[in-house]
Amino acid sequence: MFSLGVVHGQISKDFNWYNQETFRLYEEQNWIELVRVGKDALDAGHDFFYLQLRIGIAYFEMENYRIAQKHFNKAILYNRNDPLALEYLYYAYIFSGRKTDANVLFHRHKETLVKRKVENPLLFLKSIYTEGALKMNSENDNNIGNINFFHFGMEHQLGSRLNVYHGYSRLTQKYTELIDSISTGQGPPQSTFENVYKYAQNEYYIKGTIAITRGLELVPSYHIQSIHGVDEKFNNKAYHIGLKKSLDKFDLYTGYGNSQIDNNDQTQWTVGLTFYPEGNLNVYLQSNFTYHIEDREEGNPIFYEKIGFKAARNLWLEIHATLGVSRNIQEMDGFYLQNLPDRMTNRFGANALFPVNNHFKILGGFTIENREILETFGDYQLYTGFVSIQYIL
Amino acid sequence: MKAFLFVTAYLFIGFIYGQDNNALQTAFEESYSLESDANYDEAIQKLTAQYDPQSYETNLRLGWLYYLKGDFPESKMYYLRAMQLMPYAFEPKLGYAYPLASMGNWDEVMNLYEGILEIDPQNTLVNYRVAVIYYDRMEYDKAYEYAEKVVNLYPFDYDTVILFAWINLKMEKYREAKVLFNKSLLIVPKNESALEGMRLLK
Repeated sequence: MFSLGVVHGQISKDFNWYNQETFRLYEEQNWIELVRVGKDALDAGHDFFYLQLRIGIAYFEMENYRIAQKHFNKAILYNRNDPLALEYLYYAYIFSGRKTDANVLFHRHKETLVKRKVENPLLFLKSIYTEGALKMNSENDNNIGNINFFHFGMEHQLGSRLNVYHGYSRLTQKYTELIDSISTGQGPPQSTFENVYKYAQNEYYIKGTIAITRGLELVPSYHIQSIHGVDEKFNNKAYHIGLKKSLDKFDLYTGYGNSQIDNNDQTQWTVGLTFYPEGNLNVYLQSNFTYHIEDREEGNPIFYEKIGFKAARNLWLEIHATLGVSRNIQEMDGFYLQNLPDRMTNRFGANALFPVNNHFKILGGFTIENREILETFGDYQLYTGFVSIQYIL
Repeated sequence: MKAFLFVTAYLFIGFIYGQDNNALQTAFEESYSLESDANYDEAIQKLTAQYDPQSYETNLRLGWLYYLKGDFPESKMYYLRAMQLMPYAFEPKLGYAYPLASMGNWDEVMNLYEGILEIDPQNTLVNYRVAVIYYDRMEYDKAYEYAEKVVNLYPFDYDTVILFAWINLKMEKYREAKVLFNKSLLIVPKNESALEGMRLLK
């Protein structure tokens, strides 16, 4: 055994050895060993198309799509139109959620990828999204009704570098005012009248996702809310701009937002990081830090944490928490423009995502918000349940 | 005395040169024999023992032997030296393409071939190889352009006719593909590639 070990140790690992060994491991589909030997070969200064392609395929087969992308991108530097490398790269982008890069790649190599039976992702109407939510107050105050939320939106692909999402939302709430009739003391017993009021909020949201370079996206958005109260009518407006950079196992994010809510000026800065430990969407951890300032007063730091993981073949679960006092902030690239008059001190929630098939996705979730009434400092909870459906064309 | 010294020196140099030439010829001869036995390491050793960096032939031969051995970076290096020694020669360029192709670095191969075709647009070997590259890349329009040139010059060359037949099939020019598959069956009767193509056409 010892002598065998010595003989083994004397194997000269030259180019030929690495080339043959990585090919043998590729044929045997020994992906773990292929990655190890392939990295060794790169460290020894050997770098060529087939080596990068084999390492990329090994990572792809191990579902580490983010690292696979790196190797496929290097492979196509040696052979820019290779159909196999391009197809693998395209799906590595899709499976790791980098759809913007996939679109640009498809546009550049449309002829080759169509011949590889890749479906055209550059459709004018890409998807339809609808969401319904119900927010309930913990106070058991019959006078204040639940908040109903409805959203309908569409996603468009305009060319290869611009994706636009826009949608309409409506939020309604009823509340009842009890009016005691004036008693003269001599008439019939005192009675109470009810006045039911409806609060309605119509919203329009539009967001663009612009591919700047590979892995770099600019995300501007605009959100307008038109509010109809009992004796008031006014608009809230918000814009937000985000910049996202995808690295090997990380996405870095920075954003700036400004809004006018109830005629108060709101400004916020966000920095965030999403970590994909396995290089795919099976596990992801997202951390965002937002600093929000209302009317140039003292700012509030807000921390947002989310963990998502694939729990079953067609089920992803997410849990999330928001810590820090917040009010009138924009979330998810300005999709949500929070404008309840009370302060949220923290929020906890869970989501479940079911991709039914390649066209339908169902998302459901529940959150508990701990809130503080601005005037009285009284605490209460707001419970939200939502269901959304996305249809991808 | 001076004349004697000159003649002696001349004879001595001639002797050395003749000896060198003999040794080089023997090294080449032995390397051919070792190559046919697939003993590439020893074939390389025979030539490196007589290695002269200024020798185009030795560099070209070493490029080939290292290619056969599977040491593509070394092969590239010797072919590159041969290219530098004979910058107008196609031979080392065509050789240089072998290790590049084996490493899959086809973009470099294409640059090399495009350079050759600029000087010699009718070069049948290069036109054929470029057509094969485009065919593998599924760029059939471009493959057609290059293969057509070769098939017009060599209508009875099996490799070109069968390649052109497949290109036509992929471009959905079924009538032309059928004619070409039938022609290839005249050149190489019952060839499997043509029979498969004909099956697809039915």
